[in-house]
Amino acid sequence: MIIKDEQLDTMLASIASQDWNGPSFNQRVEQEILERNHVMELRKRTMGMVGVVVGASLLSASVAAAVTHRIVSHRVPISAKIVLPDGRTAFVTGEAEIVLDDALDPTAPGNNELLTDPKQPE
Amino acid sequence: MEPTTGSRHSTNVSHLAIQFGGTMTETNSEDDLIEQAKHNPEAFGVLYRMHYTAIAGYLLRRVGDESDAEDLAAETFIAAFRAIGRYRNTGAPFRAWLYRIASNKANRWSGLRTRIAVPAYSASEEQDTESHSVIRNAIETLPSKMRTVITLAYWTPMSTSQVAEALSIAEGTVKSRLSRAKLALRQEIERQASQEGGER
Repeated sequence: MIIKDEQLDTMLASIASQDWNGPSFNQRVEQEILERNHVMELRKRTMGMVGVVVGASLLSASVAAAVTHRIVSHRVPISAKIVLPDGRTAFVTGEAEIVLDDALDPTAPGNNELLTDPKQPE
Repeated sequence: MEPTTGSRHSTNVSHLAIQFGGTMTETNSEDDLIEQAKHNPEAFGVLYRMHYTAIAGYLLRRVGDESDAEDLAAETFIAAFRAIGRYRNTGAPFRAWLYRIASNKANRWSGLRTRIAVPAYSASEEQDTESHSVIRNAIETLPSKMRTVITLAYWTPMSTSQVAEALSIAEGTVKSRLSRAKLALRQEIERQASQEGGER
């Protein structure tokens, strides 16, 4: 039996004319897509929540730091007489912050000394 | 019938209705959809719906059984879904890429079938005609490269140049493989016919 080229073409063409008459969707593929979609949504939501938690932690940490700073520091009213280099004087009033630190302890010897310009006469 | 030569087949995807959840933005080109599909499973869902019937049809022509074709189509689209991030537009239609994956799946399937010694295609089993079984059995005997080229050229609407683009080989290579495949097919069919004649 000899098969000619045209015969082979006809045989191949008869298979080529077979069309898909099955369902136009595939359950396995759709399941895979939906699962991946779900995972990505979940990941997005988790990232969002992590962001919120980190933001909230930073905010509460900074509030706590500010409160602590306020607690450990003292603000006291202050008024000072400043002698300017040309001999005139000026009065300054306001609030000063006293940080409770040994080096800056207002009760430490020397810290209460009146600052004077050495060039100015007493 | 000769393998298709000439115009490219293109898919009109203007203003697609979104079928997966509806959070995807409207798009008007397949290229846009492919880019979106790299990050958005819903976009891949639209691509899959567009090409599913064509790929399943090709696989049906390859394996001759609707249930096997459906399984292979699922494997094809799942593989494409997982690899879409690496897809690069080389100028060939997106469907050509899918055909290539489908062809590889079908080749692997027939290799497995041979290894586990499943009987050759038979008309009654495959709800198929005798001549279809003859040609499919003959195609199974071809080396996988020839099998891929001849089935893509004859059983898909792709032109020889598109088959070449899909397989990343020269058009001349496609033509020479086609010609050698056809020769080998003729010889195999003749051999099968003479064997059957001898048995009778």
